[in-house]
Amino acid sequence: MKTSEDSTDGELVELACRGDERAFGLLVQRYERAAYSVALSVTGKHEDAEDAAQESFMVALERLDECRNPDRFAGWLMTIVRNRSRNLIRRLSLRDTDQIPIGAMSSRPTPDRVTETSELRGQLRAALDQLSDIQREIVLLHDLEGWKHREIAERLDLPSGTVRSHLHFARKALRKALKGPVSADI
Amino acid sequence: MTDDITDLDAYRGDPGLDPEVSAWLRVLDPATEEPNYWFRFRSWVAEGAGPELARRRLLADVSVGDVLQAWSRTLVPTALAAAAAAAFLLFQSPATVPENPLLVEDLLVAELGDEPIPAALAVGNAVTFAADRF
Repeated sequence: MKTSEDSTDGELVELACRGDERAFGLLVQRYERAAYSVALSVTGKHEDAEDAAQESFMVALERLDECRNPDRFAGWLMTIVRNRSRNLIRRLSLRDTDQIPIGAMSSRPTPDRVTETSELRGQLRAALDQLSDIQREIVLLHDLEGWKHREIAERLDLPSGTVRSHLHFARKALRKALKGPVSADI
Repeated sequence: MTDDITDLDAYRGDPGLDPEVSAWLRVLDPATEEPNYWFRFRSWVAEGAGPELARRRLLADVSVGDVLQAWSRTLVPTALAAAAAAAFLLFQSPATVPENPLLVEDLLVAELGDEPIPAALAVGNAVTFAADRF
């Protein structure tokens, strides 16, 4: 079996179990954004989501032999991401750290852009906070990461109708919260 | 996608991508402000995963046959040596017992005149346990 971008998750998991760096790299590449989105939907903060997503890949690799159905690696990984994110939040809440806005990045965009983007981030964060965990996760996976609703249903082990329903109500809530203040050209 | 979506739409067909919501959410993608963000993310994960992947490669190289072979290298010669020693002792033991040896039990309870035990032994009598003799 050789590693390629066309390989199935099951094939890549099998190879990664034997220490194939490229196979593991492809799995990371395939699911890094989704892992980040799920982590962000739980933590609400860029730094925490980044930590949780990265840690989750490490944990997933260490426990790869426990992935009973390698073809459903994505769902298994997202469960790890969700749990790691919740644990991280629990740890942080004990430390009572200051809140850092979503997306405090290391690059330095223009001041206008910073103001505009951080304003939108603040509004988005407030709007996303109003959604349930599962609605937040689904809308991020669908409208940010571009997963199809069938993929979400299959990977998160949810009925297809439930995914569509959550997505619909999440979008509706976001639109209601953001329609006014956010400009259309963003 | 606009506000004219009814709740029933949620249960029909594939919802497709909502360009408006998608545009809003895009600011949450770290790559919008740091284009090489995902490359950096991947590098960090790859670096962290290195030792575990190396361990797995090592384990994958060692097959069940290798493990058995490694065991057999020690186990087989030891077992053969033990068997040879046992066989040797088994066949040699009866021949080494003399006809009328001094019994340890007798030496302990019987009088030996004035002879100390070493003197009795010096005569050349073999010493053995009664249990071995009978």
